[in-house]
Amino acid sequence: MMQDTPLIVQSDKTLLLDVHHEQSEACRNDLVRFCELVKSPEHMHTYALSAISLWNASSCGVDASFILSRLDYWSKFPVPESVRFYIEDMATRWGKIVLSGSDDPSYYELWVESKRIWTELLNRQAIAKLLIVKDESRFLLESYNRGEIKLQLIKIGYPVDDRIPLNHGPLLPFTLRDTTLGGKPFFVRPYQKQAADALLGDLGPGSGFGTIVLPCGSGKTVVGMHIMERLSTKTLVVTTNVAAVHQWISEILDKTTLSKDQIGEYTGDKKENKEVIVCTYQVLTYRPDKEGPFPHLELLTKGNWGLIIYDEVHMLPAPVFKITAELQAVYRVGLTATLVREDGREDEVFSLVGPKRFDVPWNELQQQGFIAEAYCHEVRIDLPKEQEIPYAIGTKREKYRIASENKRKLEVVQALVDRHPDDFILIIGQYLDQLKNIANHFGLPIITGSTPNIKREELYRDFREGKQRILVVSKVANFAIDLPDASVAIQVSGTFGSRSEEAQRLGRILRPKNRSSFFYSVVTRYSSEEEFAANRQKFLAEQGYSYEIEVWDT
Amino acid sequence: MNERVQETFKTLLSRYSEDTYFYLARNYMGKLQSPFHKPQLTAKLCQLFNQDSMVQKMLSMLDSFDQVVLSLLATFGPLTVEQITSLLKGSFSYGNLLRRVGNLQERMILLSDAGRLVFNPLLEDQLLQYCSLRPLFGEEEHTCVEAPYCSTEFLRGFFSLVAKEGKCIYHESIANYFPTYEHDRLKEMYQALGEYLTEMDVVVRDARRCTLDWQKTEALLSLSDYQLLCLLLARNLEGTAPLEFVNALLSTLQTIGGCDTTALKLLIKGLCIRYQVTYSASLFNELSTWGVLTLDENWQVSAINGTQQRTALLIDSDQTISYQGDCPKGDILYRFSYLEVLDHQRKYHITKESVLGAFDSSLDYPQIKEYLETNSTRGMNTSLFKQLEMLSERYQNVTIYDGMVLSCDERTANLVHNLSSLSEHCLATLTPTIFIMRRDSEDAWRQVLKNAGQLIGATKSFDTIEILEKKEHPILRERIGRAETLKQCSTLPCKPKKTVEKMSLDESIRQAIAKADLSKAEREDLEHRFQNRTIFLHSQIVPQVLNPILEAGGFDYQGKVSLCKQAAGKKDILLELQLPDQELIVQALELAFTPQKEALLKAAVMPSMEVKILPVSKLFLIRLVRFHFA
Repeated sequence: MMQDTPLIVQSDKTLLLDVHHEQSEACRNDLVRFCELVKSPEHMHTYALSAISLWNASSCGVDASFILSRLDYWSKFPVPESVRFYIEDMATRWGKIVLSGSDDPSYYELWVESKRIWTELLNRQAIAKLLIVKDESRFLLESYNRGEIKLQLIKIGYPVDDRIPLNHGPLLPFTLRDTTLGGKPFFVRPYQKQAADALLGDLGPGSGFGTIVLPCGSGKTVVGMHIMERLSTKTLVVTTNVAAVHQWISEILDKTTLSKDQIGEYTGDKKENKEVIVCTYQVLTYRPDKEGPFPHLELLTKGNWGLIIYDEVHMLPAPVFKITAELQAVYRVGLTATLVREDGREDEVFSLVGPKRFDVPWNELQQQGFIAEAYCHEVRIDLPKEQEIPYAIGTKREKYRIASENKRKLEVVQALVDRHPDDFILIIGQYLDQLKNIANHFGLPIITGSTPNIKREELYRDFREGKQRILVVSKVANFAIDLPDASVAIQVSGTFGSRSEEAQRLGRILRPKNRSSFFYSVVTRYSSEEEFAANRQKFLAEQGYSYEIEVWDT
Repeated sequence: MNERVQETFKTLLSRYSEDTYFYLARNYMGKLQSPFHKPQLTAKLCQLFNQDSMVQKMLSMLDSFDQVVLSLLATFGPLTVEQITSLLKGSFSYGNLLRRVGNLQERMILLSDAGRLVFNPLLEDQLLQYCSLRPLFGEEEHTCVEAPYCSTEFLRGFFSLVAKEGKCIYHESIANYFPTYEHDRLKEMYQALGEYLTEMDVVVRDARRCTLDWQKTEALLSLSDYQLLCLLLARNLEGTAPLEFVNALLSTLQTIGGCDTTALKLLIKGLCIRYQVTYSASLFNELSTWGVLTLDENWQVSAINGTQQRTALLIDSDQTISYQGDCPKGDILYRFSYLEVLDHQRKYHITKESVLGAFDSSLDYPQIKEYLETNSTRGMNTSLFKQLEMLSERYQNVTIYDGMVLSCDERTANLVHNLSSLSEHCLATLTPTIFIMRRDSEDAWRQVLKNAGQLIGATKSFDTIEILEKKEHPILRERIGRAETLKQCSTLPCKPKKTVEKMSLDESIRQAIAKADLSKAEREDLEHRFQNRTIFLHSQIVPQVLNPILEAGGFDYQGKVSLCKQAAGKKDILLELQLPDQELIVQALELAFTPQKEALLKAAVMPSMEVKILPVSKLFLIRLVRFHFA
């Protein structure tokens, strides 16, 4: 029996949405309440049911019967029995373990629904050590173990219904402006509002923390500021580098009523103590010696924050993981475009910062004009003859480097720059020698890790203000750098097969503007760089981008 | 009634022994005038069975047991009495079976054809209307369930995985590709398929890896799901017509939808007899392994759907290709892409390795391109084409013939000239880009080329590297050929067209017998035959005794001895013996007397034919059973 509906529910708990079906939008609106978007290529989007997504749904009052009724309604084929069972099983686990306050403020109380679960918890060493038996259905738990117990219980398939409201930090009243300081009209876009709503909910238990996934250039910073405004509290923003810190500060100043006195920078250069602080992951995880403590991590734990924003949360470094687990009482939001980590620790990000609350397909925002229409090209060129033998006898790493630094790429860059005489162009690469060579050849400014922050700021500013049309940048510009007018990116080399790097680099040119954007990846033909390039492109391919391949005889 | 049918009837009767023939003729036509003229008598009998009133009377006296036996014969074809009793022994007692089957012969509903029972050809059409599957395989209604089985789509996926992994060993992650299949079942199916296809040289193993014989895979995939299952189920069967057996088995299962174990055994055993296939209990496992049956209290039959037309291919930017339905014959998708998931939406993924594998197996880029263009509707991914084209170009840059001739592009030639690790294997330079290499060190120089970043395909035309020697497998070829002709055959319906009414005897005949001027023996004989439903016309009430003594018991020692004498040495008559502690059905072999004149019956106990000697005085009751009419 087959219905003319847009959804196919597969037995592996993935849900395939035919985006060309006339009812796909309505169907998607239902799916996002209890599924996670996995990939969104141009024809068939994949959503997945997971324990976390179902528990999140349950915590928002979306129960198994509702989910099944929607799936029955939308599914082209009967919903597989195994999927029905999974939904019912997972959804009914919600509420079997409840975390609430106790008479003693340094302890929380963990209630379990049945003796069986009670016994199981005590039989698990990693869990039992965190608990003190109160009676046959309740345990006591030291308050700083709140994150850890949730993590451990999720591992054994029991979500915790955490009914302890998050702490409201010190009040910091401010609003978003209707017109920016720069004089441009400003408003929060509908999907940005939806993202904030999805995270904050009714501000009751179970809400106020999570991860928001939005494409590069779609205004994640605005979502962060909107959440800050809604909570109006003391806020810490953690981001990837100093330039991004300055960008956050200038954005906050430009678009909110907060003043310079209220916003501080906490970096290697400056250590300000204000009601809103923007810092880097780097400074938090800095330690003078390998075995010593992290002196600046206290900024996280002892700052009495009402809200912590983890910008580019996929970059969350390991030391911050543990601290984040202890910060369960604080409103927290992770922002990212590419929740893919080559180390596969995406799930830990979800469990510590919070589950994915909002995600939107890139091509949908592109169609709505909220991010620029981008055309991706892979330009393939041959290795110069004199490099063929060194390449042939090189190790894998040497091969990749030889291919990446192919001298002929210079000619390609030249031709591409000529092809786009009116565009603002970023030339991005991995290897400094190669980048310096390009910069020298064209007489262009270059930004690398060793470029002083002041110089970087100056160059970025010149680029934004149109004084400098072409910038050569290393991987320091991969993330969080907002260059609104950049419309062409030429990638001459990259970090092996990093999918997020590719997406983030494309993201540098996705700010909506009056012209299309072009992303060029220059790759040496018949080399290992081709294979790494194919891997790098996977994430974007899953978002619906396809690369046009050009073979150049240079 | 057509002449052929009448002739068949006459022929069958003509083969009967005199004894049986006249027994039947007398029953239906009364006392016979001497001298006997058999053809005339047979013609009269034929006329009798042509009378509609006669036929209706006979049909009205059918009961549920008759229906079981009739359905059995309609399903499994002509059977001997022994075969019938053997098949139905779980449902009825042996003695009862013998009596009732004998009775059907007395009533001339069944006739013997060289020892096997067939429908009376004059009644066959009418009798068939009372036949159905339910009386044999359970009255409970079942419908086939949507459950996964070893379909051609599964087989495609299997081939794709073997090509990808270079082995056909089940491991846990295989389950991810087939999420609709229950794990244990999938493991069994996957392993069994691997074993069978290896045995048939479809999967070719060498020391390093498994490869596929693509001609054979194509041949297998030209079968429908139904035909494929027939082929797989028949793989270990021995006998005359294993494929036909499986065809009938599958067809019947598809009709009944489900049954219990007893019924399933009956079905398999009956069809084994019909198609002369050796019965094996492993068939239960086979049916379960290939997903035809699942045990859930009762056996549930998977619906073997006809091929569902495939939707257009959906080629997405992440190079996944997906569709619903079943690929048509000759489809090549599985040859150049790797299975991602087999579910409602079947998904394959194009990778560099999958395409190179396709090139190695002699598919080329134009074929793949044409296939994709023809089979997809929504906008084509030009980037994918470009990538495939370039891969093809790169693949063609280096060609190795017979493990010794290296024909390559300038770039590779440059390596041969300048890399000592390569040039040491070079015997001669024919042209700047064609070299004669050492065949005995092919592995070594191939590896050097690969390390240097070259894309090296399989050796062409010779068999030392990837392409292994192809073995013809005549059994497989022949079986595929035969399987291709199979299609689900029609079976009896689950419910009969006509149902048997509650059998009632014609009381007017009973009264006529009671009033008739008859001797005691004649009356008893007639009443007995009336009860046995062999008398249903007034014209049959004729003073005669067909069965002089039918039973004797208690203190009637002489009666018992006479009955034993009457039966001794006659193969068509059995005796039912009641002893104090048991009941036996025996064939009386001989009656002997002790010096004290005590009668001893030497008899073969049915159905084992174990010979026993029984003192007649110990037999509580002896009853004559005429069971075999030939």
